[in-house]
Amino acid sequence: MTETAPHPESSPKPLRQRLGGGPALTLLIATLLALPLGVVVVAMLTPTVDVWQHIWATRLPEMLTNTAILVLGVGTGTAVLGTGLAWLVVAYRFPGRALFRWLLILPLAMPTYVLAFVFMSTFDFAGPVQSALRAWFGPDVWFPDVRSGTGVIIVMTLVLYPYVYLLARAAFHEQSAVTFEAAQTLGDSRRAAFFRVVLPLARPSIAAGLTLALMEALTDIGAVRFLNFPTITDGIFRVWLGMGERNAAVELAGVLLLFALVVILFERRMRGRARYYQAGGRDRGIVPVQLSGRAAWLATGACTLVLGAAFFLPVSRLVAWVVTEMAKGAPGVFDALYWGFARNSLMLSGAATAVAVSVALILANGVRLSKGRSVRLGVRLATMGYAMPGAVVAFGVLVLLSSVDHALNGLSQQFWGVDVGLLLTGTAVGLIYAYVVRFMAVGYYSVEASLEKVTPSMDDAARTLGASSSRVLRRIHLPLVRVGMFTGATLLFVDMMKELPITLLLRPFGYDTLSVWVWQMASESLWASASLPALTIVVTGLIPVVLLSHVATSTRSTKPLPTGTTTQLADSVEAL
Amino acid sequence: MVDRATTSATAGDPVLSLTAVTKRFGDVVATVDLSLDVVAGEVLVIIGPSGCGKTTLLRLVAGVETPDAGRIELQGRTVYGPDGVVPPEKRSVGLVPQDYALFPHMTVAANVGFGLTRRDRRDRAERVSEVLELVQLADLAERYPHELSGGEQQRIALARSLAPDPALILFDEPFSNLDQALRSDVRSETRRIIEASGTTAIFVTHDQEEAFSLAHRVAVMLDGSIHQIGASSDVYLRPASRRVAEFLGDANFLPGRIHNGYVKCELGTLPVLADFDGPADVMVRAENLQISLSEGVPAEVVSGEFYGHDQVTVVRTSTGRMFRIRSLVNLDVSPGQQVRIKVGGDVVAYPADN
Repeated sequence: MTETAPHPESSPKPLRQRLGGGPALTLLIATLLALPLGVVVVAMLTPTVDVWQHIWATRLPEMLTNTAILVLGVGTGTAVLGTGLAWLVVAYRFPGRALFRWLLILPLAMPTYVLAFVFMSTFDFAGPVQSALRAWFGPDVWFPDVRSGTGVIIVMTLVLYPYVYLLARAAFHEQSAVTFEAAQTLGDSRRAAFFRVVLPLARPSIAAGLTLALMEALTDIGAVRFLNFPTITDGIFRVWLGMGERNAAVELAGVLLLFALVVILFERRMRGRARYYQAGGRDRGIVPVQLSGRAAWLATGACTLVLGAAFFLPVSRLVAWVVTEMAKGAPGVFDALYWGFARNSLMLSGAATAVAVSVALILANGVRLSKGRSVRLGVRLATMGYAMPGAVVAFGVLVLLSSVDHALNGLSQQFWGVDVGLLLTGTAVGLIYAYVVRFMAVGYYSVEASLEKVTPSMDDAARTLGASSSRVLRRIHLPLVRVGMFTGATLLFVDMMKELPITLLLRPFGYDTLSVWVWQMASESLWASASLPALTIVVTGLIPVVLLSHVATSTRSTKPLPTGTTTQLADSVEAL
Repeated sequence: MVDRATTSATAGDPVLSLTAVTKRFGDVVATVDLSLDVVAGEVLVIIGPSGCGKTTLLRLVAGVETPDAGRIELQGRTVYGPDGVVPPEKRSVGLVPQDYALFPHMTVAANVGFGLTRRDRRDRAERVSEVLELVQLADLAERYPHELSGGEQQRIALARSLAPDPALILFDEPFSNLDQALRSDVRSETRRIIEASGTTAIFVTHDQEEAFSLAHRVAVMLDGSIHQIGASSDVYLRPASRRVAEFLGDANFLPGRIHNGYVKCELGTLPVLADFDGPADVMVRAENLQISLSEGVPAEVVSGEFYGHDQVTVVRTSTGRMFRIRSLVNLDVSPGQQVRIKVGGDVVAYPADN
């Protein structure tokens, strides 16, 4: 910490540090948040040969291939669909364009595991589509197998393309018409100008969106399990939950971490030294061209098709199930069982959100008030979890906490002869810790963005006007960061409520949440029973989508949240 | 360094008194052993290049930064010294930061009233409108800061720091964010407000024109210490050292030798303001040199720079030395032309470096 000015012991702490956490607190928090990832990295760097032989024998080659196929497939799918739709709504006019502009981000509200089970129940052999086909064309009618890599890639592409769409659209929107027109005056057609000028300029943003989409794909446990496409994540769950082999699971988590690192390095390469948006002012954006006749209806049709498949049809299916279940008076429909799960989700996500927002405030204030490099590095470490698949974070926390538990147990037996049992592992503490590690970035960048409005000279001005430091915090800081805190808290809460892999791995025994319930019911093919918790999650998930759409469609100076986050992700990897 | 006896103003009790104040940031020394008195009703401008420690000096006085050594007294009360430190909110010092730091979520009236918590509601409203009246922006009371122009924001920041009636107001480059065209207007308006309110003020700036036009006294700060303090014309015409002369204005330097109040140099034997004999660095301001066709030292015109209100002609004498000459624009010479130059004003000299 060479960057902070040394002060003689006698002089009081400088003001600026009293309001913020100071470098020591920031670094302590950063260490706590980075530790679980460190544990997995250490495990990865010190492989156990026996364990590896065992894993190799149990389908490792297949899991590696499948994970690679998943990354390539979802990467291609979301890149093409997200970029294509973004260009369509920015550069062309067609019926419904204004509505589709924001409707197209709706699938963000749909977790992969929800669409996966709806998709399977609809298109599987026993589902309504194949049954209808058999009724019309006889029993031998051919239908592709939905339980396959293709099925998983289709499902994930439909749900994850909005990440690319949001960032690509923002990038296209930011671009000045001048460069686009310059290319045209130099002899390019509109199409050629898109590929030679517009797309390369938007590349960093597209890469950022792609990274977010791929992280979700690597994290997913629901879709790959329901559609029977064993990936590394799936392997981790089988090895741990099925066979209870923790060492093997941790080693596999290390492999998953490698995949995540490859994705991040790819993003860095794509980004190069480019910054996210064009420098300088923009007079006007690219002027959209009016599509007419068939082309116009094709554009409208494409948007409708994507939205229907990714959002409206699955939601109507869920609603239909819920209505049937209600009519039947089936267990789990707005009864004590349902409210129990809902309460667990609310309590867990609420507690973790509160912790994450408080930590984010301390970190952001620490950064604001200290110009030090170590504090910035600390923040990068603290927000790194967002670039890590859930299973990696979960195992890091698991290994870390169980060794702490063992140490505590050892101490208590030595001094009091009492076995205190597992104090942290398998309790809500572990789960909240893991949530905070995984989603810290979401809260941090929301708070940081709003704290940027509070300049250090405002503190000075307020202090010289007679305000104590607590009054400065109350009258100046809190009112100005309130909006950011609220946005951050909403995004965090919903992300945590939707979260499946960490919850599955770390939940206290018998403590089930809405997402766990969906998982359990869908695993047993009890689609109707899974419908109400799934619908609850989707509806809650719409809140941040609406928030995001507001941010993305308001003034162009406002960056959509994921941009900054992804930039930082890449930076945090570099910081390693 | 100049000692206190020669620097303190002639009348009044000091509102602010600094004694041997030192502040370091790591290895960087921001102020060294700095002493300074400011008397009631005075406008002192501290001028120096960026990084000389002038902003730190303001922050030390405001209390938002704590010195490493020395003593700071405000109205006879020690606010920093061996016995401890008084926090900024108890110092009765106003601060107008460079970016004004208006609170964006409060109206103009709420901003101005921010420092008036100890008064009751009616008293407070009265004081707010009184101060807004003084800065002539009473009709903007219900606006938000982002709805104001730069000049208006600056005046509201001034009104806000005036409201609690502080003993001293500190301005950190208050005009640097304004358009060039606005600056001189806002500057004279600011000076009017300060004088009308009867408060004491310290400005820091790196802009000479600003310093000279605002100040009762100017302090030249270089490398963390004050090198000269005095009336604008004194500091400009009789700089205490070669570095002060170089920092302020256009100066020509040439070697010479002093004997009995006269200096003998390339430009002739001239009366000089110096109290020593021997080798000297002679300083002649660019505007104290004149181009003449008939008398003086021969020189050749090298180039000219036109500034609108005046112009600078660069000439070279037979020794190869270049001189800058500032004159009105009615002088018509062209490069290559042979002219003569002569000294037409005060000449200052410093003991030669080696």
